[in-house]
This record gives sequence, structure tokens and C-alpha cells, in this order.
Amino acid sequence: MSPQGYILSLDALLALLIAGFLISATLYLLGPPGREARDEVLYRIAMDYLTVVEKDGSLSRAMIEAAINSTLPVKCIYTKLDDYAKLYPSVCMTLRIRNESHTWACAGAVDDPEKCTHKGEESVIVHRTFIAQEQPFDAEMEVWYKK
Amino acid sequence: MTAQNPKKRGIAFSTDFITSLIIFLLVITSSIWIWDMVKYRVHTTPLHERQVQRLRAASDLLILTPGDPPTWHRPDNSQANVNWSAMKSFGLASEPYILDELKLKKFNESVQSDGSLDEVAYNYTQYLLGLAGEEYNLTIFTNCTSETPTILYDFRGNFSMENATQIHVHSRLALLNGEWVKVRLMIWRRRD
Repeated sequence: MSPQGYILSLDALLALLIAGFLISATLYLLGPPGREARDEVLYRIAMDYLTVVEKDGSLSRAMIEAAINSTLPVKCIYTKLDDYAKLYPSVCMTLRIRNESHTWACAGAVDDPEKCTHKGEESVIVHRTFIAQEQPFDAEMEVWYKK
Repeated sequence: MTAQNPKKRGIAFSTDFITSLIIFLLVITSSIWIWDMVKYRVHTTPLHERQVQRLRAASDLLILTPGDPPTWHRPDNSQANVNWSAMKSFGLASEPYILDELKLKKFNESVQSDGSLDEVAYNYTQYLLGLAGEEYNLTIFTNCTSETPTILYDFRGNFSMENATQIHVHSRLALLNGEWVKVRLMIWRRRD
């Protein structure tokens, strides 16, 4: 029977595991800002837009246009989404408006085919209900950062 | 009696010793590196987060609230200056997202010939916006979605930004007389 030494004994393995856990935990905690902070910024970007286009009448005009064009879904013109996107070049955005029966009234998107495709789970969706032509509509805006 | 084996020697650097030494050095090196990162983050992160939160809250106050009292821009005597000491909060909106031009004009009266706000107006608004300890610049642009936005109003203190540090900027969209305007609030600290 030949005597054998242990290269990694049980207590050494345990110490290594603890050190690894501590290092991983520290690196995780020191990582980039959490999702909450990023979501808050995206939420404000979407809510600012939806509120302003509702208050300046753009959403109502878009609904009148959508009613004229019977083919659905039509592009959300008059909503100035393209203009708004110029203020946030690093953000992709889509706008969808549907009526009470959940039929899409119009849709619009400002996205870069290369940089906006992979939004993953990092997008923020904001809803705002508004009245146009005496009917309620739901405007849904989804925003996420370009990759 | 057994004879001593002359070849039996102690090993100063055994395999397990070298292995443990490597692991030990790796852990120590990582710990030193992480310690430096922690020291840096502990120093900067709370300040950074606090500044960003303050910036967002201040931008909310400006475009969502009228201030308190809401008629701060209309003192009893129309020629009188704003009674800053009687104000409880500062806002430029008549209703959320709609800026009040009269408030902007009244605030603009505090701008001096060199383009900066007078000290009283700047100090009070700095405090009322929750930006004590930060310097701020508030700029309102029209034609904000064009390539050449136009500065409509510019409110700032009498400080050069040459020594600015910890700069944060937040831009919001609002309406002024039915038109889109960009409200850009920038906060920064003076380098000591």
C-alpha cells in the first residue's frame, strides 16, 4: 500500500468555494446599474411622449386618420414618433394604438433593423388611455435601448 | 535494527504546496483588485445615484408642477420681483407637461445682462428644486427635433463650467404654447 497525499483536501476545497462565492458576489454587486434605474429612464421617455402627444392633439388626429383609412393597421401618422426618436438616438420605440375592441387602430415604429431587433427582456411598455371621437383608445408604447 | 535509507528526503516544494500557493496567490490578487474596485465604487456610486435621483426629481418638478404658490409669477404688485422666500416649491408648468409662458418670462426677468441668473433667484431655485450642493443649467429649446434646436430660455448661475465635474444631463419633452419644447436640465459640481 503506497501512501498518498491529498492535493486538494476537504478544507482547502471548502475555502476555495467560499472565496469563489465571495468574489462572484462582489463582482455581481459591483456590476453595471440595475435594471430598475434603466427602466425608470425608459419609462419617462415613453410617458413624456404619450402625454405630450395626447395633450397636443396628435393622438386624436392619428385616430381620425386611422378611421379614414379602413385598411388596418395603418401607420400612426401625425404622432410625430419619428421626430421624438431624434431626441433619443440610442432608444428604439414602437407605438401601437388599439380601440375598445382591441383592434389595432394604427402602429408605428422607429427602429434600426440591425440594432433594435434583439430587445430581449429589457424593454419597457407604457400604456396611456385617451379619448378621440368620443371613443376610448389605448396607446401602447414600447421602448428599449439599441444594442 | 534497520539501516537508515540514505535516499529518503523531505520535499520542500511538494505538489500540494505549490498548488496551494498558486491558489492562495490568486485569491490574494483578486482580493486586492476587488478591494480597489469596492473603494472606488463606495466613494462614487452613492454620489452618482443621489445626483441622478435629484436630477430626475427636479425635472419632474419643473415640467409637472406649477410651484407653490402656483401664482408665484404674479406677485401682488405686477412690477414686484418674485418673493422667493415665500415659495415652498418651484415649477414652471400650468398643468403637467404644459409650460406656463408667464412663469418662464417672470423667471427670465431674473437673468442679468451677463446671461446668468441673479444670485438670489439662482440660490432659491437651486434649493427649491432639491439641488443644494449642485450647480444647475436649465435650457429650453424650440425646434427641438430639428438638427438645429433654438435656445428659447437659458437659466444658469454665474459659474464657469471649466472646472465642472460629476455632470449629469436629463432632457424631457413638454409643450409650450402648443409646440414641443425640450427641457434640458444639467447638474454638475465644481471641482475643488
